Amino acid sequence: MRPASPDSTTELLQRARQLAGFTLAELAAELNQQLPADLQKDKGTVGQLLELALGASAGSKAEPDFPHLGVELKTIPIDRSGKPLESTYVCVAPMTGAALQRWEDSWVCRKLQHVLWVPVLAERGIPLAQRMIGRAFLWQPSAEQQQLLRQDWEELMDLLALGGLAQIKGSHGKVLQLRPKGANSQALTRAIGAGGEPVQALPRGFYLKTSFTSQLLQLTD
Amino acid sequence: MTIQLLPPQLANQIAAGEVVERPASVIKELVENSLDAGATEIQIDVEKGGSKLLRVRDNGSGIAKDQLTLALSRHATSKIHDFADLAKIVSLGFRGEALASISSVSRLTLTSRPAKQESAWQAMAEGRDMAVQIKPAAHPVGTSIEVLDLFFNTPARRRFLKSDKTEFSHIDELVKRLALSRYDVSWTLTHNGQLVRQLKAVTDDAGKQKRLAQLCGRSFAQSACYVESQYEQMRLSGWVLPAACCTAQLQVQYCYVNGRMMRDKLLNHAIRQAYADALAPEALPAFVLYLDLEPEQVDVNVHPAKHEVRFHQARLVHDFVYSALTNVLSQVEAAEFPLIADPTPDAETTQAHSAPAYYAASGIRSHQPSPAQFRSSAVPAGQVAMPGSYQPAGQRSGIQHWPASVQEIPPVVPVQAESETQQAPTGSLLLSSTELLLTHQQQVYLLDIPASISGLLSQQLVPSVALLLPERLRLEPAEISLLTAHASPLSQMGFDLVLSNQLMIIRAVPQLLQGVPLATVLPLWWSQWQEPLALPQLWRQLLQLVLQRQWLAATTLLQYQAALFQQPELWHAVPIDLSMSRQQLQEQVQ
Repeated sequence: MRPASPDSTTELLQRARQLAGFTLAELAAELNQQLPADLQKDKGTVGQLLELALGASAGSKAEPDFPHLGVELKTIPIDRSGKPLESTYVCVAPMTGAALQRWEDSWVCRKLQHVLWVPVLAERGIPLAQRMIGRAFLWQPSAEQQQLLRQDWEELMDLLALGGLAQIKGSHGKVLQLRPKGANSQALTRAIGAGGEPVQALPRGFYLKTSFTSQLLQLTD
Repeated sequence: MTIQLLPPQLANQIAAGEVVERPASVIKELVENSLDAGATEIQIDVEKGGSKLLRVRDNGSGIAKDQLTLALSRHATSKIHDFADLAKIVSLGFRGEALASISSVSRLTLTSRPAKQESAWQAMAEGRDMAVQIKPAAHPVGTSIEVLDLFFNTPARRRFLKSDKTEFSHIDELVKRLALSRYDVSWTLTHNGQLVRQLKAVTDDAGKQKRLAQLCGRSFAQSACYVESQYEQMRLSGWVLPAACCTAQLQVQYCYVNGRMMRDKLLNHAIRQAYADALAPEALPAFVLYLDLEPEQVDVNVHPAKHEVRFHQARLVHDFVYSALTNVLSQVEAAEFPLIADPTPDAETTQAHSAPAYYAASGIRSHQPSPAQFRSSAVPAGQVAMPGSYQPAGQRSGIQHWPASVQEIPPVVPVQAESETQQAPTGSLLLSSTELLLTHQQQVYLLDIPASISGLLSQQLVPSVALLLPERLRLEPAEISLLTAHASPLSQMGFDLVLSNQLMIIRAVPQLLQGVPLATVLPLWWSQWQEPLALPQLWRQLLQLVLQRQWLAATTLLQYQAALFQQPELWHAVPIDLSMSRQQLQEQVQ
């Protein structure tokens, strides 16, 4: 059975909170889904399972997971003390074709306008099936957080657009970082070289740094 | 060596080192002055590649007699006056050091006559202190500057000069670039008395096209595409050569920002990017492009010779140039390869192919904000559903849900007492983890903390904390029935418990259990329930347990529930009879 999409953010939050305390195996069983042994092959399994459970409709399209609510779903692996275990993937970085893009139009901005965060207890020692879903919470960036995100995005996009790809390190940016995406280091994509010439490069993605997401987790109600 | 102020001439020579590299740089500075003075006719005379003579004559506004001395001084300019002007440079020059610098490394004479002045005057600066001498001269309205024997007093620089021919080719190249920046100015260039270039001022498109052909070559003028594009306050116009016509040989690469010649990395990057894959590996882009934007958006004060600028919105400028050129270049490509062209080519594209240097206004228009679909009504993140309404009936079989009866409130309730008066009374003494000795109306009491506070808590809406990571407990069937029987008081206490088959999920707990090892405490707690218990008993047993095992400090609890001290009627306390002790004490003393 595929659960219907929620009608309101309140309903979405309620439904997400009902999942708290259940393990991924229990959720998968409820949804008649097969859970892989680990995330080696597909890192997106957990997110897809929750999307299914909550009735997200957008899939991997370039719109929020709940388009009618404008809410994006993000799972965030945390440890027992509630600290994020890894940076959070936001979206793929536009290596080309983002000309004249402004912060307000960027995927990063749009994806982060309204987020339903679903923490998952996912310490390395816990098998995927036994990983437990935590308490979900809705988040909208404060003016200050928005400003931080925007600054980083602009700095990173400047580097990206003006051929500074090679200079970009994970340490760039306070809250947002740009780094190679995916485990497969063979797949290259089109990018812009230092002189404006087309080059091939590893695809990059925007990620929220753990220092930022751990603040969000602490501030949750 | 002692520290001393540099003599003016030496200071100017140092400045000249940056700005005056070769004869062509002198011409650049002088012509920019002429243009800033509003000249419409500029004549440039060169002898021996400029090493012997450089002369720029214009019909600009001229310099009044009493200003001539200042004109040759360093840091003197009519172009800007205050810092605000520096932020929005509209003139080509502004540093106020060109003439002083040039005059420090050559024999420079400045002859000028403003329209309002009867006659012309000539000024020249000489010697270590660059003293300026002024004498009358004959000259039409405008200014002439004659630079003789460039680098005569700086032999090292002079040795760097190449042959006359090479130096003149630099000047010619420069005049080309300048002439492309101002079509409305007539230009004349001579070398050793021979006319090299003569360009009449033009205003119409045909005239511009003609000047383009004269300066950049007929083939460029014929094959280049005209670009005109506007985006907000930025405007790009000019010509760009389609990739198919680009060769490995450097053709024209001229870029102007607000009329200023530029070799800007950022713009070159954008231009190269626009060609994308269409450009053959060795081929070089060719273009004459004019970018105009608001002066506040450009910082010109970056490089002494102003070859580089800084854009305040670098990426936006870059992307605008890139987009505008991509539009034009891709239209040309589509026209050249009809197979991949749109099945219904629009008239503009077709026309583009047939007409040389066609005018294709690219379609970037003003910025549209993102569609509103991402905006949605905000529900405060903290807002939680009312208890009981949580669980759509029958949606999840086998699950019972006893949500906390209290609205969740932010967990940041200060553990400290609200005010000093709410503290435990002075003279109270903690006897054990559950017993407090205190005085009340000259009477000493022994107080049972769990029993007393449970009374207080039973009357309250106890704050509940939701757990980021819920706790999971496996239950025995007996425990399940026990807990089910107590669902209502548990919910009142602030517990949010979900029972799913044999599994108990704890999602929220009373705030005072925050940080307590729930998986240990709770089973211990309910193992003590022998019979159905009411709310106060449940609280008392729970407090007893966490205080005794020291999971919660009595002082913390008492601070947290300091209201207890104002409500003696809730105390479970016994007065301590001190009469016996007093009597014994008296006997001992006597």
